Amino acid sequence: MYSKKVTVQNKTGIHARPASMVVRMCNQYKEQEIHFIGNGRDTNPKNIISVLSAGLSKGTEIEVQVIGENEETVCNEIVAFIESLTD
Amino acid sequence: MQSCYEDLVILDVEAENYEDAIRQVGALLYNGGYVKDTYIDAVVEREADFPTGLILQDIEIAMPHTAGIHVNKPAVCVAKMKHPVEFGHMGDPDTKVKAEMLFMMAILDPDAQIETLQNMMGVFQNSQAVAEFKAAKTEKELFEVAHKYIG
Repeated sequence: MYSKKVTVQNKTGIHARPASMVVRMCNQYKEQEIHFIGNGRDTNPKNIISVLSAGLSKGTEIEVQVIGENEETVCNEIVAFIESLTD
Repeated sequence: MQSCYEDLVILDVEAENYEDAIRQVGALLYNGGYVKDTYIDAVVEREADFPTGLILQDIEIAMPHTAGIHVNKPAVCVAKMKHPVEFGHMGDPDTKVKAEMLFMMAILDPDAQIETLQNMMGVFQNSQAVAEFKAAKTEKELFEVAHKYIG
């Protein structure tokens, strides 16, 4: 397992549109198991309901955990994606 | 904070497609002064790129919305479709959702959006709440259920 922390920076947080983008991205990694640990929850970022239920607002710290092939690369890509959200 | 209002519930919406459904339901928000005249077109445009359909355990829904610049007063318009209307899925645009209900959101404050969505996810995953939404046969009953669970 490889993990890295990231803080949600975009002003509206991971609401509907960013959430859709995160879910679409994470579903590209079919072989990997991914968790977002934050807000006292273990969120499955491949599931939109799970992401929307997590309330990942601006300032929330998320630990992105990836288990599986190329886990470090995948984790860094997800972290970079969350950091790149501007909406 | 109140989100649901008696003039923002509607039953038996007959819509041909998602755009028709958004335009009909959005008209309630516009006629009540909750949103600006740019809101409906903005929601339709956003829905095409980022669909809002969700498949839950007991119900399929859609939550069309757009940015706060098109909104005057925050609210959620609750609509039951006469027949399910096809929307794209929020998590995967290739998956089709047969939406039985629309929860069309007018969100003014971006900070409130996350909280509203989180709250509504809790409602839609609550079998009792979903059963009450499905059982509502009059607009008064629908409003009472919406107000009880969404606010």
